[in-house]
Amino acid sequence: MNKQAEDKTLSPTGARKPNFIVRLDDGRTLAVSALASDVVERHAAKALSGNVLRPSRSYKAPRAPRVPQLLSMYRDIRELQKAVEALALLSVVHEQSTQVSNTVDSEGMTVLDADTAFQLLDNPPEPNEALRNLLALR
Amino acid sequence: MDFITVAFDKSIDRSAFDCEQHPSLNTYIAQQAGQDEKRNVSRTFMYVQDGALLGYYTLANASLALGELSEEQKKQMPMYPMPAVLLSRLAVDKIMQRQGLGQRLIADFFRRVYEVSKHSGVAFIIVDAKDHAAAGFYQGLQFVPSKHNPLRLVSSASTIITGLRAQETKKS
Repeated sequence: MNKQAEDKTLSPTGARKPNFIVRLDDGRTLAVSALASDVVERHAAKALSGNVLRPSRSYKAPRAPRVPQLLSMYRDIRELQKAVEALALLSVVHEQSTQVSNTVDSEGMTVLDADTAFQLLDNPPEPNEALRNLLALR
Repeated sequence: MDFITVAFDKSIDRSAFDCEQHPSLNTYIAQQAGQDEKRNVSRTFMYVQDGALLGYYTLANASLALGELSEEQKKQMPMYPMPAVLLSRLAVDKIMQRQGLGQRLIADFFRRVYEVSKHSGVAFIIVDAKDHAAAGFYQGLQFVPSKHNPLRLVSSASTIITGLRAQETKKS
């Protein structure tokens, strides 16, 4: 099956041309396909079969260069400004988050000295008077 | 538990709220709190009198990581962060300032933490003080500064829970 497909692709007429090997003077070996020129020809014909050589049916005058409208320019500038501001903000946030990544997450994680945390967990202090008074408030 | 605050209510006018010192707290309650409620990011509780918002606070769940653990501590402590509740914002309207409402709101917050602790583990309470004066106030209530941020303070939830349990026992 593969052989048939190969034949069909390389040689539409069915006539096969042999490959041969050329030994060069410097000792190198070069394999040459006798079909090479057919292949090149076919690709060239395919490439040129498009609009390149076909005469155009209707003549189109070359477009005049587009004059940018002031309004759309302003709009583009505003969008660019927004993008630049957003990028600047992003870089600041990134810088800050890099600085504190191992310490404090501003909205979530808090770091407490391990000894203090141990004390608070295992031996929590009794509420002092100020706290007791506050807890009694309604 | 009886609370002096009500859950966030968007029908209450928040635009007139003014705590004077920190405009970000005014902006938050007027514009952001509703979004955070909707997204379940935090819960806001309001102190309302005659339909006017006079104070609020916001709480959320948080985590507390432990600083450098010694080898001995590593054997005793779980490696995951400790559960905490964060009091992220607390504000009192200017017409109610210096009348004790701030302290009453903090007490209300502690009672809510106590309720939460009955259903989910809370090892620590974290507060964000707006300035050093506020940080000093919290230190008077047995809060200690966190390792890297003196305006973020931590207390043992057990201390608060013990205090509130004692009150309950006294009442009954």
